[in-house]
Amino acid sequence: MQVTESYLSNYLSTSVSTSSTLLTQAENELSSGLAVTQPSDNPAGTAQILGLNDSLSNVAQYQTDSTSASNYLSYTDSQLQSVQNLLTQARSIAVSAANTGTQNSASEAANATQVSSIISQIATLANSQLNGNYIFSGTQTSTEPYTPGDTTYTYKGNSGAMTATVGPSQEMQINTPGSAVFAPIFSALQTLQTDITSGSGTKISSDLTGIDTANDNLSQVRANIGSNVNQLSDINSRLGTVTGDLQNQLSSVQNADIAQVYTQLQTDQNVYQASLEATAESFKYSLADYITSS
Amino acid sequence: MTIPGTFYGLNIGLSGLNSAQAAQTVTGNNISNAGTAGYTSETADIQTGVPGPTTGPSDGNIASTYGGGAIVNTITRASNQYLDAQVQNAQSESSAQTALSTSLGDVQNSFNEPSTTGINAAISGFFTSIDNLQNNPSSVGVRSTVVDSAAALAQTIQTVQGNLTSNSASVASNITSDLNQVNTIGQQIASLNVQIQQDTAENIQPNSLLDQRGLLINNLSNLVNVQTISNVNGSVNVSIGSTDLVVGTTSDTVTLAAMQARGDLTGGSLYGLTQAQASIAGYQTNLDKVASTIISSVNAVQQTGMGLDGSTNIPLFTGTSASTIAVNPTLTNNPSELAAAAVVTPPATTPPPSDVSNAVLMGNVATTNQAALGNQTISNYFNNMITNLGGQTKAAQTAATDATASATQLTNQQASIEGVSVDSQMTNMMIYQRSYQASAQFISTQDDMLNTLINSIFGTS
Repeated sequence: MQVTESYLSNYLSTSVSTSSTLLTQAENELSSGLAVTQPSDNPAGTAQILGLNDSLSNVAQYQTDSTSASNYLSYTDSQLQSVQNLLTQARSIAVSAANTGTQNSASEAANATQVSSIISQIATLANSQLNGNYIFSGTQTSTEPYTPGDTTYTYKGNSGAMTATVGPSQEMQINTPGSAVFAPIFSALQTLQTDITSGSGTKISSDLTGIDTANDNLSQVRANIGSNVNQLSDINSRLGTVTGDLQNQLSSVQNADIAQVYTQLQTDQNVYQASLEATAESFKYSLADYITSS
Repeated sequence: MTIPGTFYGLNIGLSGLNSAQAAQTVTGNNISNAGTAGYTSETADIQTGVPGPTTGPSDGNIASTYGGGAIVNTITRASNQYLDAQVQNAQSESSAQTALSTSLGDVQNSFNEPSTTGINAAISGFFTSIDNLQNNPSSVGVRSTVVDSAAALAQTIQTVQGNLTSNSASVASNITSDLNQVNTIGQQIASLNVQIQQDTAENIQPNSLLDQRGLLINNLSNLVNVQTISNVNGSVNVSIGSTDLVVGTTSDTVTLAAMQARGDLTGGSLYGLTQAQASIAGYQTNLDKVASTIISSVNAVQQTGMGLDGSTNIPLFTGTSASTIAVNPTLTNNPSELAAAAVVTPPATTPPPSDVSNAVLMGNVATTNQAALGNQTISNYFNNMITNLGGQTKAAQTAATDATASATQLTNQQASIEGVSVDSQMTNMMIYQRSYQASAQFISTQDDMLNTLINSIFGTS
């Protein structure tokens, strides 16, 4: 084969540009740390990356939702616990009022005042707010469930459910509409207050049943909330694991294997350097240098 | 026996001088053009001259002729038409794939995926903001975030579609420029054919014109697929499939539509560009589908729900396509009109502020299989589109690399055969120099011999 000047220059420029392209690719991969920066770098990998990014975004949202739901439920439960404590206090007042039977009117008045104070404290708790929203109003969160001063304790909220999306097609109710919880409590305590004022020991004894029923109902509601909080904590820790798995998968597809790329870069640099040297050497010698005119 | 004339030897010597001189000129021309594109190495064909007188029969032997010295008859080009055709085909293929893969690379850049700022991320961002709305439906801030995410999604889609339109315009302008070049080259080849035909008629081989024409055909093969037919009169016919570009001394103006209608265009950058243009149009159509599906599916939910202020039937997105999708300015100004709640029954006029039943439905759009998108979710359809783009680009890149390697191989082979080797020209130069020196020495010796004869007759002068 004849090595002509044009052959040599074609050949060398192709070699140099090929090795310089390879070098640039390795440099890009190393500087970005990403094995896939364009879909064509790895079409199948791109499909995985896009899918994994979607999943990660969903999982992150489920985590946000379940954390916020958990906070909402915990706050609701803490308010209901205070209600339950007050209810227990009211019950012990009722027990002592029923047992003493004939009390003097001064102590009757004191007991009645205490029960009345408990009722208004419970009403305040029923109007609890979280981030400016009334938590016991159903979805009417801008309306106080019980208007202060309204001694009929008429529920102003609704029975609407607020839900949080805590998984794919997994909705969880996070609010506790107040009427079901507070109506039996207000009714039982108002009856108790009336009976203490009238001084009827028998009636007070029978009022305990109403208080107990309201308390059992409250316990049931709190048990549900507790179970939901536990479920959310399970969901949250599972989502944490899923996030880790997804991130591992993503980095195995998306991230460059730095050690391998670095080695490749070294090789490419050597090849590039060699091709440059070869180019420089190739045009160094010519027969013309050795011909002396005679 | 007959002997040649007294001065015959001097003429032989002269023919040696002349042919060495002629061959040296060819060598000089080769060296001068060692780096000239399209130049084909030339060789002076030195042949024996017209035979001289015969020796005459003697002793029963057959008479021989004296040699007639050397003459340069033709100067041949080291061209190889078979190899030239192979190079042209390989270049057409390589240029087509390179043009396609370059254009698709630009399309990939336009989509900017996978990234945190592309459409994929914007779709996720939008639906995430709707999920957040469920957590805090009465907050104007959260509502603004939904409207902002919707605006970001619309803007991203519009930007990408705009980028694709620019890609398409740039491809179209390259197509126009390529087509103009094809027609210009056609005219140049036709006018070279005129001169070459004239020279050929006068029995002249116009090497430099042939080189120029070869270079033009070579350049043409980068633009389109080329077939050539050499005519006896020296002209060459050039066609693209069944479309004639040059017939003898006339050139036709070719059009893209006519070539495509006949399926004649199968190679060259022009072919690659037309393929890229079709691809880009396809991606633009698909992106329009994504946009119109987002608009219709989100609006369908939004318009059947109720805003915080009791408003109904207010679309979130306006527009119908990827280039027109935008957020309804009414909602930008008043995010409380975002319909997170279900429509209430009269006499109520506004929904409970924390009713998120419609927001849940809107969030479900993300996971709904859309009939308009081949029963895929919006995200999956878009992701598949990007994956297809990646596959198509990679295939074009691989094909371009392979075709370019094969074209390079053939071009190298062509350069090796048709190009100028300076070292071998230097060797030739020495041969012709020595040959010239020897002929000169021979003439001088002949002169001495004649001198001897003349002196012996006329005495020493």
